[in-house]
Amino acid sequence: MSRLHRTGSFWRIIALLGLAMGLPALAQSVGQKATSPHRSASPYAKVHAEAARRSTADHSQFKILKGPFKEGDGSAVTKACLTCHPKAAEQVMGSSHWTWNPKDKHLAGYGKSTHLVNNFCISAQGGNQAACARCHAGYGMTDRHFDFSKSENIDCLVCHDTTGDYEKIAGGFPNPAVPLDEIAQKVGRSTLQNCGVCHFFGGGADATKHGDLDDTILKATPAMDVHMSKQGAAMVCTDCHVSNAHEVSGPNYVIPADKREKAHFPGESMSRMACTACHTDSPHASTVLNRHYRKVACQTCHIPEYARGGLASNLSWDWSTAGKLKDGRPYKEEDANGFETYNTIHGDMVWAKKVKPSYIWYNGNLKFTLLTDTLPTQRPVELNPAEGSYADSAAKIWPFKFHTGKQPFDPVLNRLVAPYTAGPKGSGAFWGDYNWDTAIKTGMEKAGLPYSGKYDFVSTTMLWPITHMVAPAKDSLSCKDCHDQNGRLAGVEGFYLPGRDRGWGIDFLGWTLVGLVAAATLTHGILRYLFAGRS
Amino acid sequence: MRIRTLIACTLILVALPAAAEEKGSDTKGKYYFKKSCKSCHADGGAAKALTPLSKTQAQWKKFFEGGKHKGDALSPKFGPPAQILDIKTFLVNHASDSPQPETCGG
Repeated sequence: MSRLHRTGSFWRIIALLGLAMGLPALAQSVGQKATSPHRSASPYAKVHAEAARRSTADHSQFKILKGPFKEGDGSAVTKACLTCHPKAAEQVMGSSHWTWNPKDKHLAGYGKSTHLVNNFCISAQGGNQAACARCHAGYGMTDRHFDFSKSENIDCLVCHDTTGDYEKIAGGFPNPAVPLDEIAQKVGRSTLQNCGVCHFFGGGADATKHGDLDDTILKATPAMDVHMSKQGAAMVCTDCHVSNAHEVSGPNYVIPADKREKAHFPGESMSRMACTACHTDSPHASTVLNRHYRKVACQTCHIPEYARGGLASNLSWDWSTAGKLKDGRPYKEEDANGFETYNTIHGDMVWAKKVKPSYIWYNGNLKFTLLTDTLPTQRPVELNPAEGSYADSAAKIWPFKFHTGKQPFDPVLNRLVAPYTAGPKGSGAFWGDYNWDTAIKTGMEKAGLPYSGKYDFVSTTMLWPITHMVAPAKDSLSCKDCHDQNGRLAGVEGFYLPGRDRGWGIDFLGWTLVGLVAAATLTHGILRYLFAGRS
Repeated sequence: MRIRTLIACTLILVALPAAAEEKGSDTKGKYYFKKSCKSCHADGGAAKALTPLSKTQAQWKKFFEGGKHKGDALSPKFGPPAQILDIKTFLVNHASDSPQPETCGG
């Protein structure tokens, strides 16, 4: 269906008239600074200092935290923590940082401990738990039979270390070199570093998966991230992702499409993930800009590019070429920018910095794919298509990182597969033996899933919502970035966008008006000239 | 002949693990390397950035056998001897020409 026929001419005319009336106000307001809820510099630095001042405990004074703890014995530290914080165990064990399975009723069953699949490292379930457990808030996850009921296996330190020295190894255990007593005596509220040690490294390495999260945020300038920059608002993750009894509010892969949460009773703990929680839904001086909020997410205009901190994010991962050797050894290739274009253990990859997002209608629901799902016939396979359209009142135009991949699947069962990747030579793991046959067979056995014994590769795509790395107001998108035939929203369908869309009716009306005004002006001028001097 | 073969095989079996890896802890060495070395040897740091990939196994071994860093003895300045051995183990095991080259967090 062409854009010409998307809506009736009547609505186009209304839109034109609306635009004509709104333009002066828009022109006046563009460039104006959006209203900020915080007027002083680094306001959250003061908030955090106040929180520290109000604290009533000095953990360095507690004898039980002085240890000594045996090398790598994180559970001993946990037991010490639980002597004073006994209810913390139940709270943590109910959280998705522990279960790796979201609580949300729409998303239960779609977590790292389930059959969820992606097109980066594919799945933890193919026997890769030990490697993935470096980012599990627990100790001892080495396979799918991890006991989620043992409170001594909770890892308190990964979220509460304030020294930056804590480090986890395979199985989620502390590195035996970590001085557990020193760290245990300096625990505190979670900082950017605590969250970032895992969330900046999604996809296996810094900046790989998300695009808007990497460890350059720790030293961000305000131009890179107005919120988390120390010279900006100096916020930490938990200022928005508010924790409620150890359940950290978060998207669980899905960001509610800018819904403003309201307290049901005074003092209710609420997340502040939606921009509107602090900025309101009408933060601009211009009514025209504020009206955009109904159909455009704040992030769309205020995050003009992602991966702006200096690190490149992964845009494409082709597993089908992995496993090539040179002189019998694995190897890597880099391009002129130093980006890794090939690695034996990964295959071909594409990386980029300062990437313009893709824009898509999105109502807060991404429909994910499981290893047990039958694949559709459509290629490439969309692993998490976004729901939403112009007609959907909950949907807005959102920015996404669009990631492409090529990953193994079972052409007989028509399902994606979970290869065993992270293991030593001789274990059957792909990164040890570079043999897909063995890696997939072993992986599916470890996952407890059927496998026909045949594999091929299938192209897949994924969407990753962009919501961090918010730029200063002066760097946000201008009208022409979208209201243009070749603008950023050129591919977003289902509605009439002034400046982008054209139709003969509206063009005829517009040019007729221009012609009439020109003719009237000319006639007026001629008459004034001819009758000049007459009273 | 049999005895000679047996001795040769025994020697190979004993020598192989020693050649493949150092005797310290690879895992702990990674941690101490970050704490003791990367505090200066990092991008934007006081000294040239270093990762295990910066040298070959032979080069790392030569550095640690020398036992000195700009004229100072490695131990105790950069930790007790056991920690220095752990760092050496990590760097040698993941050097540029090792079976498992590693960057150590870039």
